[in-house]
Amino acid sequence: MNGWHLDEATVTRYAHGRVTMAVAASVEAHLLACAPCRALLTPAVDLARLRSLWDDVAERVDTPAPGLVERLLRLARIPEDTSRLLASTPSLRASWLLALGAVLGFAALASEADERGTLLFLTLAPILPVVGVATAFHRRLDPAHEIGLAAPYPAFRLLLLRSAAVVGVTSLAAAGASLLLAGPALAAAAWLLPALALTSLTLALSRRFDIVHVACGVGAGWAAAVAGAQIEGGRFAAFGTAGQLACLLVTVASLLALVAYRDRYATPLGGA
Amino acid sequence: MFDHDDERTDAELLAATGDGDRTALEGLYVRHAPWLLVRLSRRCADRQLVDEVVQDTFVAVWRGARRWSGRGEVGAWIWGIGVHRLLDRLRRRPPSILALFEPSALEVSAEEQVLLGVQYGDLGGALDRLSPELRAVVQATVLDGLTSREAGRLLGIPTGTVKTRMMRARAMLREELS
Amino acid sequence: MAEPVEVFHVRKTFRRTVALAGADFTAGRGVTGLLGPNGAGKTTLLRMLATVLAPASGRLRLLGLDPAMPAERLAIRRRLGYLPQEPGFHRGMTVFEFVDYVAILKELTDRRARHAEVRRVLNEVGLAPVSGKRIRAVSGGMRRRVALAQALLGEPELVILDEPTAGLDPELRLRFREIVSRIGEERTVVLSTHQTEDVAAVCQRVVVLHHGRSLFAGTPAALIEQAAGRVWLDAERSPTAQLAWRNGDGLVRNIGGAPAGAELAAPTLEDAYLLLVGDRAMAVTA
Repeated sequence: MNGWHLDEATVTRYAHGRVTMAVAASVEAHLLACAPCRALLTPAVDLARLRSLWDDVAERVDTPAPGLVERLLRLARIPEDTSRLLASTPSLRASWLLALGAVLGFAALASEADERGTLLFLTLAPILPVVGVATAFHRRLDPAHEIGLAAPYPAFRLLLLRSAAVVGVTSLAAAGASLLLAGPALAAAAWLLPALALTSLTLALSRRFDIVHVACGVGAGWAAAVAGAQIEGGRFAAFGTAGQLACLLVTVASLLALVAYRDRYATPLGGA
Repeated sequence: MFDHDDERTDAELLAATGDGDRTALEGLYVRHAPWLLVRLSRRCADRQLVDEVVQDTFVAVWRGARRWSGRGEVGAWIWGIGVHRLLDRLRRRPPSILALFEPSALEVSAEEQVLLGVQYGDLGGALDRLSPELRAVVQATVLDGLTSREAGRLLGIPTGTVKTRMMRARAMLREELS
Repeated sequence: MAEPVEVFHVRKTFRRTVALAGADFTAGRGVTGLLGPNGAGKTTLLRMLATVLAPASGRLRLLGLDPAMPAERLAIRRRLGYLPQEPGFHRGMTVFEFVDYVAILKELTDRRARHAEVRRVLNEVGLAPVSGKRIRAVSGGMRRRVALAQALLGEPELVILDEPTAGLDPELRLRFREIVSRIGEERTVVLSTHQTEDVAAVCQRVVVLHHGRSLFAGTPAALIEQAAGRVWLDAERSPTAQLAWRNGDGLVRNIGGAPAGAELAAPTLEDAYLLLVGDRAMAVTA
C-alpha cells in the first residue's frame, strides 16, 4: 500500500455508515496497514465517548489483580481496602502459608507414631500464630514499616485486623491438620484456647517490648509450662480443664489490657 | 489525549506495553481505538455492547501484549482480539439485537471506485450486488476471518445456514465474474 | 500567625548517643533544607516532624497542632507526607500497587478516587510509564521516585523528605530538585541533605544542624554572608586557614581568617557551611 492513500471524503462517509459493503471492506482492509489514513478517521469519531472508554480501560488495567488471599477475603465480604491491607501482611503470603501447612502436617503425622507426636502438635499449634503475628509486625520484616508509622490509618485497628487474620488462618490450618491426629477427637481442639492466650499476650506485651523478643519469650514460656505441667499431672496436663481455664483467663486479661491501652499503639511498637 | 501522537512505532508501543508501560498502551489506544470503534459498530448495532468490547479489547491488549508474535500488522492483531471479544460478549447475550447497517441506494463515488479497484478489482462491484444476508456472511467469514461457527454466532444464525449462504455467495460471484 | 513547623529546644537520646541536644527552628511555606553531616541528628529530627518519634523534652508544633496528643497527631498525619531515609517496598508489588497500598493507609477508601490519586502522584514524579512494572524490576532512582510519589498522596500541606537525593546520579538529582521546587510552591517542605548544592538550588531557608544543635537558621543568602571576607585564593595553603583545598585551576581555596591583602573569593554556600561545621564535615561533602 505504499504511496496510495484513502481520500478524506470516503473515510468520513465510511465512518458514518454511508458506503457500500465492498467499499467499507476496502477501507477497513487499508486501515489495518496504513497509519496516516487511520489518523483521517479520528476527527470523525466521538472523542468524548473514546475518552470515557479510556478512563474505564485505565481503571481496569491499573487496578492490581488480587491474589488468592485477597480474593478469599473478598469472598468473605470484607471491604476491598481492608482486604488489600490484610493480603499484604508478610505472614499471609503464600510462602508462609505453605511453610505453615508443612509444619502442621508433619506434626500431625508424627502423632501416628505415638502420644508424644500428639503432644508435639498440641504444643506447636499455639506457637504458630505468635510467630505469624511477630512476623507481621516486626520492623524489619514489614518493608513499608516506616511509611506506615506516619500514616493516619489507626495502628491499633491494623494490629487487630492483621492479628485476627493471622490467628484465623493459622487456626484453620491447625484445625485441618488436626483431622490427621490420632487419638481422642477432643484432643484436636485443645490447642485453640492456648493459641488465643499466647497471641493476645504477645500483642499486649508488645506495647512495651520488641515484638520479636516478646514472641520468643512467650513461646519459650509456653514450652516450659507444658513441660512443667507434665511433672504434676501426666503428659497432657497442660491441656486439661485447669490448663484451658488458665488460658481463658490470660486471653481475657490480655484483651482487656489491649483495649485499655489502645491509644499507645499509635507510636512504634516496642517504643523504638 | 488525542492531540499528540506518541513517536514510537506500533511494534515498539506493543513491546513497551508488554513491559508494563501504561503510556504505551495509551499510545496504542489513541491510534487504534477510533477505527476499532467504527469497525465494530458496523458489525453490531448495540452501542453499549460495542463500548464494552472496545474496553475488553484494550484490556486484553494490555494483558496479552507479550504474546504478539512480532509479525504482521499490529492493527490486524488488535482486530483479531476485538472481533473475538465481540463474539464472547454476544455469547452471553441473545443475538437478536443485531442489525448490520444497510442503507439503500448508495452511490459509489469516483474515489471509491478506485479504492474498490485497488482492493478487490472486479470483485468489489459484484460483492455489492449480493443480497444483504449473503453479503453479511461473506464479510464475516472472508473479510473478518471468522470460522463458520463464529460467523453464525455473530449474525445470530445457525452454522449450517452460514455454510449454505457462503456456497450460494460463491456461486453467484463466480457467475458474475465469468 | 504560627508557622507550620515549630521546633523548640528538642532533645533526644538513644541509649548512649545524644541525637538531639536542644535543636530549634521554624519552617514556613516553601522548601526548608536541613543541612548537616552524618550523625548530626537530621533523621531523628525529621522522624519527629513526621510524628514517628516523640522528643524526650522540648516542644514541637506541627501545622499548629501538638503531636503528643493522639487526636492531634492523627490530624497532623492526615495532612502529612513522609519519605523516610531508607524507604522499604514490598518488592513483589507493582509500582501502582505499592502506592495504592500506601494510599489505603492514608485512608483513601473509595477505590476509583484512590486510583485516580495514585495516577496523579505517579504522573507528578514521571513514573506513569512504569506503573505496571514490579518494584524489583525498576532501577534504584525510580524506586526513590516511587517513595516520593507516596509522600505526595492526598496533597499534604507538610512534606518531610529525608535525604531524598542521596546516592542519586546528577541527572536524577536535578529531576528531584525540579519536583521538590514545584511541590514547595504550595506547601511546606522540609528536606534533609548533606549536599550544599541541593540547598543552594531549591531551598528558601536553611537550618544547619551539628551534633544535635542548630548552628544556623535563615536564608541561604544570609548563610553565605557569614563567609564574606573569609574565603581567599592563594598559591599555597595559608597558615591562618581553617580548611583549604586545591581548586581545579591549580589555586588553593582557603577558608578561615583571611590575612590582610589576600585575594578574596566570592563565598559559596559550601564555604559558609564548612566554616560553621569545620573539619568533620569535610570528609562527607567532598
